[in-house]
Amino acid sequence: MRIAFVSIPRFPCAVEVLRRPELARRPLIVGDAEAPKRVLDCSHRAGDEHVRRGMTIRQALGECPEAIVVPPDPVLYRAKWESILDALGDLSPEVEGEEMGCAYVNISGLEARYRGEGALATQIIDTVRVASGLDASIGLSRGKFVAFAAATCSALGRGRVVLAGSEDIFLAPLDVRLLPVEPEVISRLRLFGLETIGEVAALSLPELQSQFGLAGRRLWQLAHGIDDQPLRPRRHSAPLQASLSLESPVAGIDMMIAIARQLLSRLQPSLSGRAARELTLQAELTSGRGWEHHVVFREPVSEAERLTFLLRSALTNFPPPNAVRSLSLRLGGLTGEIGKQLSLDRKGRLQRQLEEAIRQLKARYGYSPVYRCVDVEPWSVIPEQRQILVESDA
Amino acid sequence: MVRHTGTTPDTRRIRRLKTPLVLVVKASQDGVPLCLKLRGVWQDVTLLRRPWRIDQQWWRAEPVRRDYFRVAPEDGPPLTLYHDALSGEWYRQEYGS
Repeated sequence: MRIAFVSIPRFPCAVEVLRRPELARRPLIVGDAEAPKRVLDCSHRAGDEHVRRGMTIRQALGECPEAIVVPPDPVLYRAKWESILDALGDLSPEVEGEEMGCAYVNISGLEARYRGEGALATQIIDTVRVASGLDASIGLSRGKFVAFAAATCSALGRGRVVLAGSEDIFLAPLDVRLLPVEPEVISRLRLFGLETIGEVAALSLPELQSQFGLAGRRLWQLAHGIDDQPLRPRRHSAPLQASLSLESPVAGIDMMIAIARQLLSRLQPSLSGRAARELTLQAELTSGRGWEHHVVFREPVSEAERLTFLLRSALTNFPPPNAVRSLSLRLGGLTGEIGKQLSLDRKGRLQRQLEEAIRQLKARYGYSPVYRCVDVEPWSVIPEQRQILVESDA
Repeated sequence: MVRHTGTTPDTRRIRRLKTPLVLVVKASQDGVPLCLKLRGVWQDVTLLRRPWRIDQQWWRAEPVRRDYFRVAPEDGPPLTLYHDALSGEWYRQEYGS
């Protein structure tokens, strides 16, 4: 299968620079929150000063004092990325959005339409530029890994085609760190003095397998340009979405919950007969930036009561960092309604509510803070031996 | 044989109910509580019922020997306390079943 890898490195930074071009003049750090604690992304210039993703902002500014730190705008990043994927979807029906800034496109058979793969690469670059205003680098090859490596080696706004049969020649001089295997495997390869993929390819399959076990086989295949990982096309399902713009900014959490419930009630008629697997809350903050919170349910939810409960929990536990100007609710992963054996009596309903509450608490804290009382020696005259509290697993 | 995991087991999953809490108490010569310290304040107490003794598990390595008292402090609801005859400490504990 011929695959194109679309790469927009440091996607959040690229979007920020597109919005405010003056940011390109200095090293840029995108923080992880409105009051950032860690580095979500950094520009090439900041990276050259040893700023890395995940390090604390304090450490990052220690490494690069002249850097500008901006809070993230996940809503804008997502919107840009979705528009890119939609545009790529017009070129080919199979597009896999691996993460923001990285996408695989199945281009088998498309080269005839575009007079060769070089022209097709140019077309993909133009498509991304029209959809988002961003420049991408493109790699075209057989299999995901070689396409990825080709895109990594080409400059921004350029494409690189690796012809069928020449994959191992192309990969040979590249650094082993490009291989999509565990970092530990890369470290061990370096310990053996293997710095390039060609040096790995020069080893036999039994030699690699004897050192790395199952990973050895994959290493051998990758080093020879063989990658049979399938492309997992994104699912096309139109989410249900409702938004509300507010006359004046709202900061109170109760008010936000009331607005979110209003949005949910608007979506209810369209949801009928279906259940949602995920919920996304988005808001426009008074700072002009976006805020987003995404919740994936463990099972599809269709009942209004349960959706309201989940919505309230999401807003109470992860409130927007400051007042909001608009709120938007999106229900995604829509599926057919699932059947459940319900109880008619009130006790059954209470039990279900309790179980749901415990499930949510457990998902949040990693353990259940709700306990039930169990008789151990109820006849004992020593009080502390009569009962114990056991964590409730619902 | 079960190997030692080298980690502390998670104690969140099970908790004891009615765990005794240490209390500072002044008692008479015959061991009856006269006053106790509640929220940093000494309060005289009145005995509400006859004391009772628990002498259990004397056949085990950790026997239990306690004298229980149901008392009413000057300010606050009645409470149950006991004197541990082995350690000499006073504790407050819910006793009802």
